[in-house]
Formats: sequence, structure tokens, C-alpha cells
Amino acid sequence: MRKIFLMVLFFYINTISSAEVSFEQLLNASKDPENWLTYSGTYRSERFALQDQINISNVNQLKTIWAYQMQPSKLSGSGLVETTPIVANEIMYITEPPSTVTALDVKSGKRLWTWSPDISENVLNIGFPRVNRGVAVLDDAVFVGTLDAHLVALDAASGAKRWDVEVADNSIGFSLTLAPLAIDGKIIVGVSGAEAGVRGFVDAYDSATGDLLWRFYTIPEPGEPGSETWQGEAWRTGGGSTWLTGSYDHELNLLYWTVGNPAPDWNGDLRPGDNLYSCSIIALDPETGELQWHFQFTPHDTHDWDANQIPILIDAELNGKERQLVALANRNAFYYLLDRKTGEFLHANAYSKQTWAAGIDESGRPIVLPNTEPTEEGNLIWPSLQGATNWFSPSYSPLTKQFFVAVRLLSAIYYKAEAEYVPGQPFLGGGEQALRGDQAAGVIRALDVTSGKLEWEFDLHSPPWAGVMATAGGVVFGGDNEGNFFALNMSDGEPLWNFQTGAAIRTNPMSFSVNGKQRIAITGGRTLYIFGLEE
Amino acid sequence: MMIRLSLIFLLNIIPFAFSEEIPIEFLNQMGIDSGNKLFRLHCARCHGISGEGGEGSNLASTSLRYAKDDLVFFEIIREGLSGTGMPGIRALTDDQRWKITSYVRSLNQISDVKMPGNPILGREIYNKAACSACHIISGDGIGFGPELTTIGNQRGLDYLRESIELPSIAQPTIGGRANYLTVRIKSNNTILEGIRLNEDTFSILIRDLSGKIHSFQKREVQNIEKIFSHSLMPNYMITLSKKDRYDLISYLMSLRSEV
Repeated sequence: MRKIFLMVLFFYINTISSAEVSFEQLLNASKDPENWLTYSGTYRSERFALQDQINISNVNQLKTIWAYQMQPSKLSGSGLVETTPIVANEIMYITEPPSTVTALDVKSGKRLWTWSPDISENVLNIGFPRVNRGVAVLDDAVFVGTLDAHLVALDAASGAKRWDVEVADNSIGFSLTLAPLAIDGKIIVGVSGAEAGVRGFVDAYDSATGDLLWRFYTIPEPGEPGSETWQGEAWRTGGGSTWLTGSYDHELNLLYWTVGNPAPDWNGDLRPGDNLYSCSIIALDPETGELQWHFQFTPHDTHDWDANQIPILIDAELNGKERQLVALANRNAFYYLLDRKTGEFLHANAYSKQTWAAGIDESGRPIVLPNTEPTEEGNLIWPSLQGATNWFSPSYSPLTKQFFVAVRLLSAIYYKAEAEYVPGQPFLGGGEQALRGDQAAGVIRALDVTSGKLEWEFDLHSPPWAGVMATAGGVVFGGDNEGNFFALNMSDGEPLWNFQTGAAIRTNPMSFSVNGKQRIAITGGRTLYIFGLEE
Repeated sequence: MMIRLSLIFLLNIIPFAFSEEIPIEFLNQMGIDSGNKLFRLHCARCHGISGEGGEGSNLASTSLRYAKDDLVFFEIIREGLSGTGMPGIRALTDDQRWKITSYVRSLNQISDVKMPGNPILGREIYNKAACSACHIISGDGIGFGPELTTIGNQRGLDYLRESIELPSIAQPTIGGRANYLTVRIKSNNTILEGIRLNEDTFSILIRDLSGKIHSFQKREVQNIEKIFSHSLMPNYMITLSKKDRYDLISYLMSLRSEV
């Protein structure tokens, strides 16, 4: 009996230690090819695989190593899967819709534990499907945001709940769909809900206790800087949700977060002004949450062009000078480069078809064309409300200085309608009719990271909902709506391999290793596939 | 769903109507108008401002794929549809959901549409013109073109007339994608013409004029030409008299199902 007890204890301790992920480890994720420790791989959000074991010469020999079938639940709604797996010390952590966390053995896909929150069947999700994009790991805990707007810490070894805090009130439209970001002793989260007229914010919680450390509201109240861009009481229901994981620069001590559309979406008459900090990127002090700088991509947006895209931190030479940059391909169809220390606007160019702006001026402000706002009769504009790209991740290769982005070639007729704020109800002010089908398409584009110039493109049959990942092996992985998971040659975009997963891909690829052997992961429909070379 | 394939002898088609499940207080114009406002708020983002479809499906149709009746539609608004992009909208009250249901049902009524001809004679025209060489009705025929078993539910008079008189303009679509698109594929210096059955990023599947199915990898062919303003359906403006065409259209209008 004593022997069995000691064996169980040994196994438990061993499991616990294997789940440990220190802040130091997170900081050095770019030197750790065995693991995938944050949503975008590293704090710089490059979504770049360090391994070159799978490369352009052998990627066509990829085989499925294992697959995991996610189970639909009563609350999973449309069941769309948008999770990026986290791999830490031989355990993979994924989320299943709406907010279930599952730990898998990276070698076999065998489920180690699963945890689901107790969510009311009356939970609201206004303006988005019941999705979750993944977890964060820090020390011996896993952190997940839930559809009913809680943040929960789980024991990484057992899945047991450590703490659970209500971030915001779901009954007025708040949800958490993003993967949290873990930094030193803090868990950073943002919220969804602009389509319900919430007032968005970014929060930091103590990773050990769940105590709220600070909150930054993305819509300033009267008297605060930026409040001059609002009139009357519109700020109270101004939107500006923060539903995608940000990036972090430890040396500059800055946290970069992106902000969504103002509310109501399509009727700007109800909120005159630029509506800061909607459709912006904000740089926050991670210790205090104080705003250090901001840049607004789309002032007074009326097309639902959230800026919730991944900001990639890059170091590159620009105009003969080595710069610390942040690069972002925005939903509004322009590609931007900013100085990530100061927020200074440096460059922008259209990376996809757009018909709403004559360009971007020297200050970074769009030169908006007349008659491009939604109207009661409808107004045809490129891109559609889902944008030239969306939440799914771009990728950056520091080896080739290329920025890869999955692009949606889709226009829409935008309509304006009345809007009245009712708590817990959609607050939209219009809608769109997207010109989809044969009038729409998709494309993977490779841009020169500093000039934004197109280097190559690979056509997709329809506007994609899947991200891309570049690798040190010279490959760019991506997925399409028709279920193809594919590998492109990073140098020219030529397809090297594709695998039919059987269902639409709406996730981002990621990479890790098992005993030194590289693995690539993607989810098609509800099935998570792990690929590798022949053993 | 029980399929009824009887001819309707009345000159006026009885619409397949509001289901009795919609409470009577929401069936009037006021209920429909309220439903329209709610639809614009909650549904237009995906289904288009008039229900014609966008990211979501076209709801301005007499038969909805997932909602066999109004009660199912009413429930889908609340519960969503697993495996699709349709989320459940829990914020709506039952009254609001009935109003939306009433509005959506109002989009697809073909009320009091007068048949332009005689459906019984139209059936004879259908057989004489060998329409079954390309169309299936209740299991009979060849499925080269669209199945017509319940076409009277799916298409109105104007669309049916256009399909017969100007088939190159009346291209049926699914999700905005031409459903019977003519394509010409050049491969090994040979050109093959047919209709597109399926397509994705890497491949395209077509059925040629003899009914044979061909699958191509896009990278392996020389050229793919998509002809959007062309239909392989014959133009009956030339080969049928106006009376015959109208009888044929009337027969097609009579092909309806009931729940």
C-alpha cells in the first residue's frame, strides 16, 4: 500500500513539475522549439516556428501522427473552433467551444483532463459565435477566459480550479473569447461585446490570487484624454472591445493591445467624433495599465473594422536606420508600421483592395473618400465588414523579413439603420450584404516587412478564416474554408503539400516538438490534427 | 417532410403560407414590420438587410434548409445551429423571436401569383421537350441540371420565366456561388466543357455534356475558363411558342411540397 502511495506521489510530483512554466521561460520562448508557450508563440507574436526539421524538401511527406476529436456540448452553439494549442513540457492545452479546457498528451493525443465552466444556458454572445481562442500558462497554472466573462485559473497538472473571477457582466453583453496573455505574475485579458454597446477595457489580474491589479478603459470618460473625441453620453456605450491577445516588449516594458469598433457599428451619427480609442492600437505600462501611446487606424469607423489583429513586434532597418517596430495588417485593408517605443507612424500601404480611402496621410490618418459611409439605401465598399483580414494570425519570418497574411477579397453593401441602446441587446445601427460566392475569393500574401510591397501571393477559393505560420524550414502553413491545410514555399508561394481535413479550418497553425521531432498542429472543423514526418 | 406532387388546378396558387405555429398577433403587418426592425438589428449582419444572404444563408426562400417549419425557425433563433456559423440569440424574448419569424416568412410568400398558363398542358410540354434529360422530378430524369421536384416552392414566376427564356441570365446560386457554372478546362491541349460540381483551392470537379465526371488538380491544367453569363440549358424562347412556355412555367409553379 505504502509503495503504491509513493508511486502515486512520485507520479503526481513529476506531473506537476513537468507543467511548470516560468516567466523566464515565456520570455525566452523564441529559443525553445520544443514548446509553444503563448498564443502567438512568443511575446513578439511572430507565429514563427523555430524548427527547420520540416522544410521545403520534405514537407510533402507529412503524415498525421494523431488526431483529437472535440466533443460538441449543449452550449457550444455553432461549434466553431478557433483555439491555438499551447504546448508546455509535453502537455498540450486546448480550448473547446464554448470555454472548455482540455489537456492532452503531446505524444499520443490522449486526454489527461478536461474542465468546463458552469455556464448558464442563457449566456449572451452578441456579435460573435461561441468561440474561444485558447489558454495562457504561467508557473503551474492554466488560465482561460469564458463565454460568460469570467477568468479562471486551473491547476496545470490536474485541471482543478484555483480561482475564478467575474471580469464583467455577461448579461449586458460582455464575454471573453481571447487567449489571455501571461506576463510576470499577471494575466492580461480583454473583452468582447462592442455589438452590445459595452464599454471596453483591458484588465490585469494577479496570477496567484485572481485579484484585479488594474483596468484601462478603451473609451475615455469625460475629462480623460481622448474624451474630446466623443460627444454627450455616447462614450458610455462606445464599444472598443479588446478581444484578441496582445503583444509584449519586456525591454521597453510595454504591452500592446488592439481595440475594436465603436458602437453602434454602422450608424456613426449617434457618436460624432473620432471615437478614441476604438479601432486603435494602445501601448500600456504593464505595471499600472497607464496609456503610454496610441495610434488610431480608422477614426470614426462606420464599417465595423475592428483593429483586433495581431500586432507583430519586429526589429528591422527602415530608411537606413535600425528600428524597433510594430507591424499590423489592419482589417481596413492597410498595412501599418509604427515605432513601438513612441507610437510614431512610419508607413502604410494598402495590402488588399479597398474603396474607402484615397490613401493614408503623413500623420497616419486615412484620407477618407466621400460617400463611403453606410446609407439607408446601401453603399458598396471594399472590404466587407469582416475586413481584408480579421482575428486570425499573420506571421513574420525574421530570417527573410517577410510578413505573411491571409487576405479576404470580399466587398459588401453597407446599410445604416436606427439604433437604440438596450442593455444586453444588439446595438448595431445597420448591417451589410456581403457579395460573396463567385464575387469573392481569398489569397495568402507575402509582403516585404518594411516596404509592405507584395512579394508573392497564393490564391484561395474563398475568403479565409484561418491564420498562417512561417517556419525556419522555409515553409508557410495555412488553411482554407474548404478544409485544405497546406504548405507553401516561403520564397515564391508555390504549394508544396496539402491535406484535406474534411471541414473548414478556422484556426491558426502552430508547431512544437516531441523528443526532438517537429510537429505541426491545425484544427479542421472539430478535429485537431498533429502532423509529423515518418517515424 | 411529406412531398406532394399533385397539380394545382386552381389558377391561383395557395401560398405555402404561414405556419399555424406563429401566434396570430404577429401575423399582421405590424408584427412583420416589428420583425423587420429586429431582423436588421440582430440578423442583417450575416443574412443581409433583406434576408437575401451574406455570410449567412439566404432566408428569402420558400423552403429553408434547416427550418422545416416556423417553430423550428423560432427555436433556431434562440439555439443557433451547431456546425454552422449561426449563433443562438439568447437576448431575444419569445415575442421578438416570433416577430422575426413572421418577418422572415413574409419574405418568401408567393401569394396570389396567377399562373400564366395551363399546368396540365405544361406537363406534356415538359415531356415533349425532354426536360427530364437534364432534370429530375420526384426521382425521374437525369440530374445534370437542378432538381425540380419542389421548384414551385423555391422559385417564383419571374425567375422561372427567365430560366426558360433567358437561361444565361437566370443562373441559380448557392451562397452567391453559381450552382451550375459552365467551365471550360484546357488540359493536355484538349478543351473540356461542363458544369462545375465542386471546387476548392486545389481542385475542380466538372460534369461534361455526356454526364461523365472529371476531377482536375488546378496546378496540372493549362487553363480554367469560367463562363458566368452562359448556361448549358437550351433557350426555349426559340424552340417553344409563348403559350407552350407559359404552360411549362405553370407546370413548374405547381411542383410544390407541403410540410
